[in-house]
Amino acid sequence: MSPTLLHLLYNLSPLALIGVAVVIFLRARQTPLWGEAFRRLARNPSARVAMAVIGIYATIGIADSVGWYDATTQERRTVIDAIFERKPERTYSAPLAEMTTGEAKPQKIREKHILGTDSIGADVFYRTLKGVRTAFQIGGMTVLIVTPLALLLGLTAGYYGKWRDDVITYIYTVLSSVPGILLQIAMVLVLGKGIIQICLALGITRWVGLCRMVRGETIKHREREYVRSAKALGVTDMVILVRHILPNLLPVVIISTTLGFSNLVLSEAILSYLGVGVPDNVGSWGNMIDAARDELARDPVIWWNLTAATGAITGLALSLNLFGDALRDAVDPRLRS
Amino acid sequence: MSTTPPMLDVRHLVKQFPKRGGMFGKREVFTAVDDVSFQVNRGTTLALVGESGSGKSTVGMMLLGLLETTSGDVLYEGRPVIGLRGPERLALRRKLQVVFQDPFASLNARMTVAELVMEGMRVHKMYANDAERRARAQELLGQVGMPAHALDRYPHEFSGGQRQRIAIARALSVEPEFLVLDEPTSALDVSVQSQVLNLLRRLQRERGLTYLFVTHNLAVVDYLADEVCVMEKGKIIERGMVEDVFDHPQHVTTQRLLAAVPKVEM
Amino acid sequence: MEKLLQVDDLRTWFRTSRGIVKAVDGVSFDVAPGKTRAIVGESGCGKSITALSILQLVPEPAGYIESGKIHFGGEDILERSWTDMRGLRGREIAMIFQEPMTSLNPTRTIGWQLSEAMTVHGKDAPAARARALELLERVGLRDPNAALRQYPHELSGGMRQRVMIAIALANRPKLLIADEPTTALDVTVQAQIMSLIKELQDELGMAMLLITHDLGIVSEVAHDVSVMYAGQVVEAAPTRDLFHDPRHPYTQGLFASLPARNRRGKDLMTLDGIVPDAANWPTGCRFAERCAHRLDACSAPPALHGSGTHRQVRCHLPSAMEVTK
Repeated sequence: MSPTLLHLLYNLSPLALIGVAVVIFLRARQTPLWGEAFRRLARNPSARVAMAVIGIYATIGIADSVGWYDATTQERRTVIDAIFERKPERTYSAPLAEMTTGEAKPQKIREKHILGTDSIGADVFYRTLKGVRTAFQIGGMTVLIVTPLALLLGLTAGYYGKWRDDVITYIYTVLSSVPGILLQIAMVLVLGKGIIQICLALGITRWVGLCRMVRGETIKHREREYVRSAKALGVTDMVILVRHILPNLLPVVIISTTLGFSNLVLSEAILSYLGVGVPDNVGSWGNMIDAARDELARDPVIWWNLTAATGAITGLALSLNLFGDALRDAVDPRLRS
Repeated sequence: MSTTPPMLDVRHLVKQFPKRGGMFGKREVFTAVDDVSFQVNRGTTLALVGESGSGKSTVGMMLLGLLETTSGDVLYEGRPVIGLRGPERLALRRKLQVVFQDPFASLNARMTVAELVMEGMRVHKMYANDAERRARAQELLGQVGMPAHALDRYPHEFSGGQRQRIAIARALSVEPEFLVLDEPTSALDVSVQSQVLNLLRRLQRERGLTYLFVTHNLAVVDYLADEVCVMEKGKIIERGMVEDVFDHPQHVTTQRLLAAVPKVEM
Repeated sequence: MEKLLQVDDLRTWFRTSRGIVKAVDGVSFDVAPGKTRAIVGESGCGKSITALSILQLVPEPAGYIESGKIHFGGEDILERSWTDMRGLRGREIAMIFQEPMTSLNPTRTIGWQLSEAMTVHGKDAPAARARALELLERVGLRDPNAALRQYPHELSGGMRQRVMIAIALANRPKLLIADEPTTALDVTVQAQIMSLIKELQDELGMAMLLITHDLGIVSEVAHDVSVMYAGQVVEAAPTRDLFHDPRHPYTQGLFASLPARNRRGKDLMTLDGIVPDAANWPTGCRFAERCAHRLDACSAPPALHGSGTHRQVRCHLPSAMEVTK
């Protein structure tokens, strides 16, 4: 298959993702619980701001996933590359400066950079934008590992109890008593650097909280009369778990996943900062912060790389947390009249 | 001995729960149901009455197979039901259904009324397809006095009395012969209680249903039941026809229970 | 006779996403010193909100008292500020609730909670402790000395409700508001608790406002009854009169729907239809839609006819109005 066609096919995955999200949203809106929750969200000003910010990040991430094969460089170029990539300068330059910084003899630069340039002269604003997709990839893929794992184990432990509960509880108690960050570093060192490896490392250590919550909720629901009435009808355990209990857990699962997502974005930055994150050639806020270690010791101080990355992380994490909190308020039946 | 065997024959039923105790302590047990025996004849209503903790609900849950028995036998139409597995157990489940006290808790809030009423038919592979099941669900809702448009609504859109009707339609969906009614009107207002009681009476008349009515409400028993068993601390302390027991209670607990009911003097 | 509590045209409303819910919408009644007035009605009729309104304990900020007057001992207590109300609550007017478990603090001993009820109203600690023991003895706890050091979960439901009563009576209130005090209890325990309340009431000369859905309890305990439906009092009378001869079609329906021996084999009376939406009461009679005796006149709201000491009925039917003349 020609590279051109192949790279066009790559574009299907972000489009499919959008499609799935839209379908889920539209179907959820039909149900009374989520329909009401969305109406409440739409009325909540801080949720609206948060959703707008998340929307901007998501648009950047998607734009960075849609691209084509560039025959001259023999590399993939995305929409973001096409719009925001700048020719490299010689080295550092401050935001909107006209001369480079950090050279013995500052040179005139080609064009102004809104957030300056980094050590190899790359545009910091562009680097920051490139970090968005990585953050979503890591957050998203890890959630895809964590959520099914936590649901499977939590539902099993909570519903069946007895030895299954003992085994699962034992595993997560042990896991949660080992410092997560050490485990993640160890795993990355074994598996090697890379986005998938990081997702695995984060996924293996991060399911405990959700699993514990799912288990607790399942135990609560197991004793409810609607479960007993389904059993009396002869409904099998599997169907009770999937059709009866799971839908009742979804609100809490989704809320905790939203809040967990922002945590994962932060974790990526921490791992990259510690040098066990994503490879250097992949745009990453963590790598930018890592570079700032030396930059802050220089004279004059190179502050813009750190500021841009921190700002981007904070913006995303804060919006996700605000959104998660607003979502919790919107679906919490105790706040309903 | 009567010539026709009773529909349900409960013999020396016992349920013990392990007592909460120290990890290394002696295993102590709490006997919730202690050697309970009774029979229910087809088409009649037996009331199981007692205060909370008397074990009356536990008996009902064991009959339904929702709780394992410690010992004793339950015969349904002469055949033992405890320990049944697989298809036989499923077949029995169809014949024995239950209506719980709280219609807010016994209907899954995430399912539509149609899904709730059709679920049992699906499990038991009744009717050829979902269209037929849906038609049957609609018919059942009509029989319990619910409007047709209820099918695609969710339980929370209905009042307590209406929800209890939905729960009854759900139980009836698999064409049971025997219903365990576990305090079915205790969460309802009196004007709604009377609707549900009328409905239960009509269904018994029309379908020849047999009821085990678990309740603490003696006025309802006096109105609806044929026979009554009074339970205390897991044991049946008095049993007989409702008129006999209520008019001439022998056991002191029964006397105390009856005396405690506030009388509406009209 | 001078009334201890007099509620006039009370309206307690709630702001909700569906609009203004008029949970209590023009309720009037009174309680004479030492007497018991029962407010009966089915769920959602506004009886509990009426009780909470008297102590200004309506859940804020959604709920508020729109209008009306509540006179206690001749003083309009709705004029009182929140802090002023604190002096009244627990001392002059005490309240007990349906669920004794959630009304008690699970992390404090019974003795502590009972003493606190007195120390907040100025009693010194040793005196409060002595009186706590006395009270627990009086409400019939088997071992009051031990109970002082026990936690709520160590007591049965009936015993907890006795403790609640002890707390309520600690300051010898003039009025006790009891909101479904025995609904969560077994019938034999219920009987014991009701007779305890009655005894203590006579002993202290205390008046009681009893909120309940149980007509049996009303019949045994109350001197006067107000029947509430859809946020309003639809019928009020001395208990004997009301039970012998209910006049409002709703009250009649309530009595006729009770199961009993002499109704075996017959269908019980039912009230078809449902209570109208409190955010959108009908403009006319609120019971009209479910009423078997509906007239043309029922599209206009009926007034509460009659005098407070005898019988009041909110109905257009001639038979209902007759007795009030």
